[in-house]
Amino acid sequence: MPGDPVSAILGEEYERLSQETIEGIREQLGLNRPLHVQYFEYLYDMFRFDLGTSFIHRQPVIDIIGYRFPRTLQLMVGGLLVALAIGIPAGIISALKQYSWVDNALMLFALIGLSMPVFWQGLIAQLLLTQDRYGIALFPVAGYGDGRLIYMVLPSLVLGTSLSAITARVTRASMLEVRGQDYLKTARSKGLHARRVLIIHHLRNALIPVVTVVGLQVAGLMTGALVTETIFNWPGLGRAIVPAIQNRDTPVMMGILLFGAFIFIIANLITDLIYALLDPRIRYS
Amino acid sequence: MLKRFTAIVVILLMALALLPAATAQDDNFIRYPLLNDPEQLNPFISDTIAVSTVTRNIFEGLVAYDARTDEYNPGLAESWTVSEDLMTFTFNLRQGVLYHAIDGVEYADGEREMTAQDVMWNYMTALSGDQDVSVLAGGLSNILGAPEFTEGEADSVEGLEVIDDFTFQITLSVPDRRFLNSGATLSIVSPVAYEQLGNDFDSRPVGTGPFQFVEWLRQDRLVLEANPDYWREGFPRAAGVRYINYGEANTALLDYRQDQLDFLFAFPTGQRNAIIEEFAEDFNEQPGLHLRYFGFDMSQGFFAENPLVRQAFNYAFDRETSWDLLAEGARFPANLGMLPPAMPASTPATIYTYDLDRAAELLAEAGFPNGEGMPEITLQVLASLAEEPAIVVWQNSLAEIGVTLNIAVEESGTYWDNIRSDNVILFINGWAAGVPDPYDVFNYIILDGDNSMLYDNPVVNDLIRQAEVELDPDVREGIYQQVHDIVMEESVVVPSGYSKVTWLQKPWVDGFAPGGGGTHTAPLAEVSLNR
Repeated sequence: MPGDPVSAILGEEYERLSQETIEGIREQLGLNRPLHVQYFEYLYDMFRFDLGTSFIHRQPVIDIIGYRFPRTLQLMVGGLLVALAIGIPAGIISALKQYSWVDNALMLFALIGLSMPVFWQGLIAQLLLTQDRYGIALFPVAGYGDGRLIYMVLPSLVLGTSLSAITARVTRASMLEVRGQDYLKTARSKGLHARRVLIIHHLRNALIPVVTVVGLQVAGLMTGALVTETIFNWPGLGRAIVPAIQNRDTPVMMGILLFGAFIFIIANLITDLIYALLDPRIRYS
Repeated sequence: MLKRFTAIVVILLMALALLPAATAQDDNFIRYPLLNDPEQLNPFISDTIAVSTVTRNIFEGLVAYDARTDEYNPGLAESWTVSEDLMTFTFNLRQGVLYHAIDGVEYADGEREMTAQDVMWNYMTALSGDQDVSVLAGGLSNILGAPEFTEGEADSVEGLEVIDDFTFQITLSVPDRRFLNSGATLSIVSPVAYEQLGNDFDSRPVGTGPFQFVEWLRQDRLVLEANPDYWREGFPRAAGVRYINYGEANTALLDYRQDQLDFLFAFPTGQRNAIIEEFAEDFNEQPGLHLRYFGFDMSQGFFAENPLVRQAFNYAFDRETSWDLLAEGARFPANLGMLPPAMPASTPATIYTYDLDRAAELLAEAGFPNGEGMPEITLQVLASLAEEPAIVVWQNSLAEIGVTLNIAVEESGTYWDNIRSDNVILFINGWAAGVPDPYDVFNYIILDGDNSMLYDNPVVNDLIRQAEVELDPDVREGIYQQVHDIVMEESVVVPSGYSKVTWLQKPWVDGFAPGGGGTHTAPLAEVSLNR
């Protein structure tokens, strides 16, 4: 990463301070040591759960993550719920009404949802749902609102829309694939109620590819959350890492990236465990 | 199945619609948007605009500079005397001033009242040589014995003296007519709180100002409440301040439109005229003290060797089109020179009005007719300024006289590193003076080659030093006039635009009056709300 954090931290102040003062600050931050020494010290500290201290805010990085991650997680869960609540029913309906106008309309919406960038969706949602001038002010424009649900609705909707589109398409494809299986014919021939066949036999078997895709999209949710947080003023990890990159606040940047990688691994693990729940034939020995 | 699903969706949407949308809070707190979260709130560590927007309402100095009138008013000192030689300043401190009482800070008997001993502690802390404690030592180095203390060669500062509990004296090593501004406005913090809170003081500041700290959720909100023990009768007028942090100027605009903010300070790019039209009643504008300019490397390289080319570049810049037309009047075109018009000596002898023919003549005179033989020039641009239309306007005009101007956009860390390096010879930059005094521009931008242009002219340096100690304002203005004439004749910079202090405020706000330094200079203690 090019650039001197000290000049980024000080900005215009950099011009006012003497070179001696600037060198003093560099020494305080430990930036005057050789790169390999800084790196190995970072690794050593990392294994003791010490991710360093922000150059700019002078706060431990672990505290920054501890404060912000629950808020990002809140948004991710909100987005995921929206995605599943819209995507799975839409996929099921599409599959059941294959090639009908309902199917075509739902898949067109899914395509539009997938194609719209998150920031654009956010701006449009804000204009239409928070401004009396352009639509109806149902929701607050932005902010965390001390965790009140109403503040979460719009960012979650925006974050979940793209994922709901993918979920709908995968659910539809998977439902169609499972549709011709013998066990569904058996279930129906046993005289089971159509809803029971749909939910217990058809959907459950169709969900495995959906879980795989949704699990992999957790990383996408996290990246989407970074943009959504900026638009909706949500105090999560995204609003910490963007200024950290701009200001060369290396400890914050590295801490959040490391933590993001960790979350990705955990999400994959959870996905694998859900496979076993959905399909008892899958077991890990 | 489909019908049931549709019914559920409709019910959910109706339920959401019934949730109460945010309504305008009717408490008496000022709702103030921030685009940049303060780095921290310890005044010894840094004083960026984001930090001082908040801290100037929490802390006070011995004197209070009024940016609107350019005068010094009593602050924590109710009066002061200055010796004739401008070297000794004696401050009579106000009695009965109490530090904020906030959670986590316990005062023993008498510790809550501000005294001369506390002021001494504050100046000693500010002069610390430990960069982790203070970065202010350089600005106070003209206090007698300060450099020795900062370097660790002395245990005390000869020029600081507690005369009695409420009298404090500062002696300088050299006369300084501006010391009241540069030295006596130091924020006075509570030594007890500083010791008790340790590192937490960075985010839980304790001073004597009109507002006291309540809470700070970083990049979300920062809340101050009125100091119930404030020494100034009847102030602050509002119950508190709620600073709300926005990642996007557009989001703040949406909240302002819905009456969720009392002010709007930053307008989203390209929407200035539309906003002014929509909020004509709320719109306020006054001249500012910030200069946007393009700087040449004056120490080495192509521009240092070709003064006529520098002049040609100045003539080839159409400031009116840039600022009045394309930037929708966001700044005044900098048609005069380096000093904003509100300052003395702001009209130099050499003025570069847009004249492409004259620019072409100068290029030919310099040995580059129609730009032939000229190297391609790269302009280093800070990413946050990359959208300024002035850059493209200048690029196009220069192309018309045969000069190729390439644009290199860099993020702040790389940019600030690069502009002093040998391979960057032209860059965009800006400077905000705190007071309408040429000192605040020349001393920082061109004295001793200490700025980005690395301009070091002994004649100019001497003149600036003379002005520093000249007490007669007319003589001083004459000296600054000479400086301004020289630097513009030499075309050290290409002035681009002078700032406008611009903001929207709701009709129910009264008493908000910023100075030329920017909206953050307005004392919020005087703001009242009649929502």
